[in-house]
Amino acid sequence: MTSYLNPAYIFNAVDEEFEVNLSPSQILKAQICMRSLGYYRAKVKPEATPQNLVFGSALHWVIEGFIKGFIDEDDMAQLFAKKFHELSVGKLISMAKSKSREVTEVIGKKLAQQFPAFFSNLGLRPLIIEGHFKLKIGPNTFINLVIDFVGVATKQIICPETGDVIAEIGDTIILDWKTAAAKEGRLFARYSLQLTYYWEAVRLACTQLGIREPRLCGFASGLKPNMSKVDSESLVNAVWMPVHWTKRTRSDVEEAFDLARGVAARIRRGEFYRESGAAYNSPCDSQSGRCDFAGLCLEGSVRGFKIPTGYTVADLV
Amino acid sequence: MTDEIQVVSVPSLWEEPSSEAFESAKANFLAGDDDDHFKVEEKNSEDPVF
Repeated sequence: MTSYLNPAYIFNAVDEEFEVNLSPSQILKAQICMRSLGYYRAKVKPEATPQNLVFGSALHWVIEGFIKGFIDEDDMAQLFAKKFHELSVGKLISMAKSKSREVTEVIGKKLAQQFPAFFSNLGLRPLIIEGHFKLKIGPNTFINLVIDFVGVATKQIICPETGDVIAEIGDTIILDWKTAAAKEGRLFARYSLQLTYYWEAVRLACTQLGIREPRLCGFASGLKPNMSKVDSESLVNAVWMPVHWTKRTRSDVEEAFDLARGVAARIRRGEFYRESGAAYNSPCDSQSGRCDFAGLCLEGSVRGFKIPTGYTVADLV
Repeated sequence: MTDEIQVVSVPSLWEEPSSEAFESAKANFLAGDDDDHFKVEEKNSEDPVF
């Protein structure tokens, strides 16, 4: 309704000529709440940066530096701490009550320190590190991807359960670095859309790149234990877990790209509906802090948000 | 359906810099001069589209 009154309203429908640029993050957000995706695309952000985001950025940086040979094994922990500090300076950081900045730093240093041995055991030679791919998936519709790591196996990869060889020397392998309180489950590893998009991007580009089609993909998961003191015994649980290797089928890929086209169509139609869910575990639950945009949705207030220049409250709510 | 997908851009394969270029590349990396993707932004984000 507002669209007729306010042409700057960010949830207006747009025509078919409008170029929609998606990313795996946007598609995953669309599965949770289209309204939240609308704010994300409009670059409306909470003023506070989540500590987990700073942590992940600093850890990705030392990992890239190590793989490229720019950071020595012995410097990983120290340089993680330095980057974690640099990325935190001057920012309002939001964090869980149970995990202080100091605790998070200790966990990051441990994971950074352990990464070289973990990576060495994988037996992968880097082909692409933090590589940007862009795919055209329909008229004026694109997906942009940044893949953490594509490598080539320098030794056979063996399935730990069956003992079968699941990748030969020279095969192409895709990895995404993840950190979380628990290792991903088998179902998530098998069907994660993020890896499905990565798989197809590498498959489509493999001839151009002169590499084999992807053989395996997976998450390299660094565990962040729940602990509240820097000298907690739980620090021993901050470890890199064995990769749960998976593949993607044509059916997986077709489903993932159909979904992406569906998200693009909803964006064009201006379908930025909220997802209340059926109970209190919904994306709209403001008690648990699950929704980053509760203030905007609930009160129409822009306090606590970074709003791109030119937008007024009337454009956003 | 996936036949309709076109690759618009792909990254270059990683090559270790030559010995002459290595120190400079390392210094740039450590100084953060080549790490746009490590700005504290969510990865895969795009420029404003609305």
